[in-house]
Amino acid sequence: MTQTDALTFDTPEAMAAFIRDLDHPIAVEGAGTKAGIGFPVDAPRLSTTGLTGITYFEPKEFVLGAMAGTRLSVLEAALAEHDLILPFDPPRFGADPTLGGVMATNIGGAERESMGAPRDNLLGAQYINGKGELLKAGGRVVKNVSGYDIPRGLSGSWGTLAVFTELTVKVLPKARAVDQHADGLEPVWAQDFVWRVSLPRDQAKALTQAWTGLAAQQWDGALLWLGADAPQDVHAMAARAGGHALLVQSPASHRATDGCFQPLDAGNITLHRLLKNAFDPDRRFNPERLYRGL
Amino acid sequence: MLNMPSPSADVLARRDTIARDLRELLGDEELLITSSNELKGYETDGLACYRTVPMLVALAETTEQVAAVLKYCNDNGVPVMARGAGTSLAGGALPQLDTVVLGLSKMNEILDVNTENQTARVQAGVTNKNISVAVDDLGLFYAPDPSSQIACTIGGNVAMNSGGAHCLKYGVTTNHILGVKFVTMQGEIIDIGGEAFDLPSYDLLGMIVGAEGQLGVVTEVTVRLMEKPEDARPLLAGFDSALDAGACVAAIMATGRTPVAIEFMDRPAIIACERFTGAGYPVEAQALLIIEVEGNEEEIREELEFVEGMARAHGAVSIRVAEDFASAENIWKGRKSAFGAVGQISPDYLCMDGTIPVTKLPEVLEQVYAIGERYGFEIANIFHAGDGNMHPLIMYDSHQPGVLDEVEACGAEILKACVDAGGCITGEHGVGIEKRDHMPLMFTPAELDQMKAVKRQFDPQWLLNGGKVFPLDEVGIPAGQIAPRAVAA
Ligand SMILES: Cc1cc2nc3c(=O)[nH]c(=O)nc-3n(C[C@H](O)[C@H](O)[C@H](O)COP(=O)(O)OP(=O)(O)OC[C@H]3O[C@@H](n4cnc5c(N)ncnc54)[C@H](O)[C@@H]3O)c2cc1C
Repeated sequence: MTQTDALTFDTPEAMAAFIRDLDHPIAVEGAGTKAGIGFPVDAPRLSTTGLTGITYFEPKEFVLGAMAGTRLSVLEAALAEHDLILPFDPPRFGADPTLGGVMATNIGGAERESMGAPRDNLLGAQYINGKGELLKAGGRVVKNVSGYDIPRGLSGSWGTLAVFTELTVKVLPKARAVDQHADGLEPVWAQDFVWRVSLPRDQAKALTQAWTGLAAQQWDGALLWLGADAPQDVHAMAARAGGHALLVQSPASHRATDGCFQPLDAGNITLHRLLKNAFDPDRRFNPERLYRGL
Repeated sequence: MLNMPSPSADVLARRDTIARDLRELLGDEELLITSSNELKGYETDGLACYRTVPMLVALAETTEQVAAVLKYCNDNGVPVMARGAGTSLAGGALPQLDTVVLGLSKMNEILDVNTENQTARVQAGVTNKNISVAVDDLGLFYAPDPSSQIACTIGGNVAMNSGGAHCLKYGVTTNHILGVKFVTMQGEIIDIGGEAFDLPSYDLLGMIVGAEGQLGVVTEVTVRLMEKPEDARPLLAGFDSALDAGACVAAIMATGRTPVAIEFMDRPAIIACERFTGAGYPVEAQALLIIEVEGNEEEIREELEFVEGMARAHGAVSIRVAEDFASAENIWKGRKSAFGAVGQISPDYLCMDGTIPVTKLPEVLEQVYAIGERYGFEIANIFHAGDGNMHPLIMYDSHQPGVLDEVEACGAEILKACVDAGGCITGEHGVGIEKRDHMPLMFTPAELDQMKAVKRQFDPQWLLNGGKVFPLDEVGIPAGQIAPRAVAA
C-alpha cells in the first residue's frame, strides 16, 4: 500500500461514525513517522492527518489545544510568536510528527528529565474508543483529578486503545528551555538496527561496555541509543538492567517476525489486556502491533 | 446528605466466618480488628461529616497478606477498601458497613534509596514527609508535598494523585512515580515500571495513579527524587483586597517566571492561622500571598525583587521576606496548619477543591464570596493559587439540623462556577464520595461509562472501594455493579 491509501476525515464526528460501523480492524496512524516500529498491521489505514488546526490557545495560561493531526512544526510556529515552546521535545524520526502521534507513543525527548515526557505535559484529550464513541477526558487546567486519568492512560498505547482526535497540552516560555543534545546519534541511526533503551542510570556504564555496536547516550546516561548492523537481544539486556528497550529502526522482515516492543511479564500483559478490553473490546485498532495476541 | 450503597445483608451475616478466615490468612491474631471500639477508629477520614464503622479491619504487614486478603474478598464477594492514613478530604477512605478495611500503615519501611538514579523504593504506608526526611542528608527530596505530608501515606498519594504547594514548579504525584508493586483484586502481584523513566508501552502508571484505589492496591512505590535547591525563601505579601491578590497571582503567572509556590489566604483564614500558630501574618490584611522562590543567592535575590515588584504593582500593603531558615519555616507553618486553624474557629467545615485557569482567579473568587453570602456561610479561602487550585472552606456547625444539605448545595454551586470558568471539580483531593454526584458536571454518561468500563475490567464484581467516584444510580449502587453481590464460594 502507498501513503495515499490512508483514510482521512475532516471532523472527529465523521471519523467516529466510520469507526462505529466498522466490521474489520484498521491500522491507526498520524503522519506515519513511526510506521517502522511494531509488528506490521495488515489492515486498511486510517490517518488523523485530516484533523488539523489549533483549537485553543491562551498564551497567558500556557495552555494549547490542537487537533490530533496537527504537525509539531505548525504548533511550534504558532508558539514562537509568543516566545513559547512545547516543553516535550520528542524525537522527530526525521520528519514532522503529529501531536496525536507524539502523545500516543509517548517517547520522551532530550529534555525529558527536566521537562517530563509528552504525557507529563498532557492536560486533556478528546478521543474515539473502539466502539466509535467520541469522548473527552481531562481538561485544560494543570491540576485535575476529576475521575480516572484517561488521557495518560491512553498515552503510550500506540493507537491500539483509542484514536486521539484533539489534545490539550501545557506549553512553556522559551527562556526555560535547556539544550541537551546527544553526541554521536547520527552514526547510530545510520545502522540497520537501532534500539532506544531507557534504564536506571547506574546501569548505563555496564551496558555500554558490554555493547559491541555503536552507542550514544542522553539523560545523563538514563537513555541509550544502540545501533548495530545485525539483530541483537537488546530486550534481554535492557530487562537485566532494570529498563526497557524499543527497536526504533529495523528491516521490515525482522520486524514482522520479532516485533519491536520490550516483552512483558504475564502480569503486565494481563493489565494491557484489561485496558484493551475496556477501550477496544472488538479489537479494531492496530491489532497485534505491540504484542502478539493483543 | 450523600447516599451510600446499602450494605449486603448476606455479607454481614457471614461476618464471623469472614473474620475467622481472614485471621487465618493473616497468620496473626493481632492483625485483625474486630472489636467495635477499635473499629470506630476507622469510621471516617478527613471528610469527618460522614462516618460508618466498617465490618472488619485487616492490617497488612506484607504484600503477600494484601494479595491473600484481596483474593479472599474477591472469591467470597466481600467489599474491601485500602486505607493509608485516612486523611482523604473527599471521603476516599470512608468504609461501608459491610467493608473489610485493608490497613497499610504497618507497611512503613523505606526499602531502598539509590543516589545515582535519584530514586527511592518505599512501602505504601510510608508517610510522604518521611521519604524526604530519609534522603535529606543526600541533598535530595520527594517533591509533591501535600499540606498533610506529616500524616498522609505515599500509597494514598498515588491513589489520589495528590498535589501540594511546591507542585507549581515540580508537578504532582503522577509526574514523580516510576514504579509500583500492584496487587489486583484477584490477588495477583504485578511489578509495574521500576527505576527507569517511562514504561515500555501502555502507561499503566498513568492509569493507576489517581484511580482512587479502585483498580488495585499498591504496596510498594518507586519515586523519583529531586535535588534540593541551594536555598529557598518565601515572601509574604499582604493586600487590602482579595481580588487584588488574585490579580497579582494571575499577573505573575502570565510572565512565565513561575515561582516554586504561590499560596493564597484570605482574611478569615489569616486570622484563624494567626490565632492558631502566631506565625506573624498581617491580621489587618484582606488577603495574603506566600510566594516562594529558590536557587542560589543571586537567583533568589533577582526573583524576590521581581516578585516584590509585582506585589507592589498590585497594591500589596505589607511585604515580609524570610531572612533565614527559622523565619521561612514560620511562614510555612501558618500555611501548613491552615486547615487545622480553621477547625479551631469553626466547629465544622467543608473543603472545596475546584481548579480554574489562573487568569480567572479574581472573577471566580468574587463568585465564591457571593455564593457564600447567598447561603449565609462564611468562607475561608486557602489555596494553591499559582495553579488555580482553589480551596474555599465553607464553615458551618453540624449541630444545626439540615445544615449539611445547605453546605453541600453551596459547595455544588462553587464547583459549577469553577467548571463554567473552564476548570474542574477537583484539582488534587479526588472525587471520593464527596464529589461523586458532581461528576456529570464534567462528563457525559458515555464518558463516565468509559471510566467504569476500566473499573469493571479490573474488578468485575465492583468490590474494591465501591460507592466512590461515580454517581450511584437509582438503586443506590453504581451502574455496572452486580446486585446482589455475587458469591463465588
Ligand atoms: C489537613 C489536610 C491537608 C491536606 N492537604 C492536601 C494537599 O495539600 N494536597 C493534596 O493533594 N491533598 C491534601 N489532603 C488530602 C489527603 O491528605 C490526600 O488525599 C492524601 O493523599 C491521602 O493519603 P492517605 O494516606 O491519608 O490516604 P487515605 O485517606 O487513607 O486513602 C485515600 C484513598 O486512597 C486509597 N488508598 C490508600 N492507600 C492505598 C494503597 N496503598 N493502594 C491503593 N489505594 C490506596 C484509599 O482506598 C482511599 O480511597 C489534605 C488532607 C488534610 C486532612
